[in-house]
Amino acid sequence: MASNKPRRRPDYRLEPMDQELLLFHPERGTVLYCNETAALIWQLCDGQRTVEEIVALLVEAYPEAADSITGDVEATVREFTAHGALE
Amino acid sequence: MQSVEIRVCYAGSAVAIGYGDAPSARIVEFLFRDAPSGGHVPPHVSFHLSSAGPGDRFMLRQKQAGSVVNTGGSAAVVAEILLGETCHALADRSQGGVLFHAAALAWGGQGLLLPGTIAAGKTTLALWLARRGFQYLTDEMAFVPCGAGHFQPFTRPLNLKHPSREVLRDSFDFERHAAHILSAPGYDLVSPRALDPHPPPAQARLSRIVFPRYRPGDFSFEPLTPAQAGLALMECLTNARNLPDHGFPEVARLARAVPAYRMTYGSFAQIAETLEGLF
Repeated sequence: MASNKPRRRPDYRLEPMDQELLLFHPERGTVLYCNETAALIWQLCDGQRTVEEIVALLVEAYPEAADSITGDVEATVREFTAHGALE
Repeated sequence: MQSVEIRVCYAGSAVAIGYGDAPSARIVEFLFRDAPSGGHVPPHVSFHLSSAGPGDRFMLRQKQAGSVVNTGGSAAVVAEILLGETCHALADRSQGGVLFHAAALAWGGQGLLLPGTIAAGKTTLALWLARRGFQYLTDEMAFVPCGAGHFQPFTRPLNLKHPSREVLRDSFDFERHAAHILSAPGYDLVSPRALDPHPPPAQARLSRIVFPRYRPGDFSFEPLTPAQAGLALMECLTNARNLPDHGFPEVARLARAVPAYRMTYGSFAQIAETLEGLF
């Protein structure tokens, strides 16, 4: 997981709402809800960064939450993948 | 009696309902007295209701695209089928706005939407709120035209499953309102006129959205973020397949504009002040 370079699927439409996101797939008609953390992780899944690098970026930005960030990022990436939102 | 046909036009869709005898006319009047009838959309489904011999027996014929389905039963049974099939047919072709599976009421001219999927307890909650001074609008469907700040309820008899009788025992006297109720094994159809002798408004301003969830013993009432509300509304949208982008842009617009809440409740005593306090 750590060395994966997840990439957002380009066919999702983003609907930012305050700090959160709805990801809408126009063909499937499905919607994914992302809270603030998940929205941030989604934005970082650009196909260039590894999961490990995403974790490092977030730990640097939110050192007070460092203990839980690895688990949060891996769980969120798994969730996005399960819904077909990442390549 | 000559054969008569009415049109129920709602949410960009229409059905035709015909009948040719007085007992059938009474059922159609009972079901659709407050249903919207304006509009110029041609009906894509037609129903015909008729008495079937002596006693409380009726035949319901449904015609759609060349197929015909006949159903027989008592007044309450065919009424429930006709009501359900009409709602299904209207939702099937609905367009020009977003149609939610929702109950709705009004309080002081402001509309309260209670979206929920099957078995969320919408009908029971709607009847109870109507007995607390809210104005009953619908227990099933509410339509928000594209770009609008109001909704149009599909006002119809409340379809109450029998376990609700016990829950509502202290709020609603079923015996006293028997003339406004069609009962069958398992459910009651309660005319809106049992709750309010005046006809309901054709539309109401969409002021608040509450997603109800019945869970014995629990009570919570939490505001939803716009994104949470948007996701929850999409789950209750019934005509997504007929709309550009599955109705998502309209749902997102409403989610941003209208305050929304999630309410988990285990008894009515918990919710009265909370909902009244919203307005």
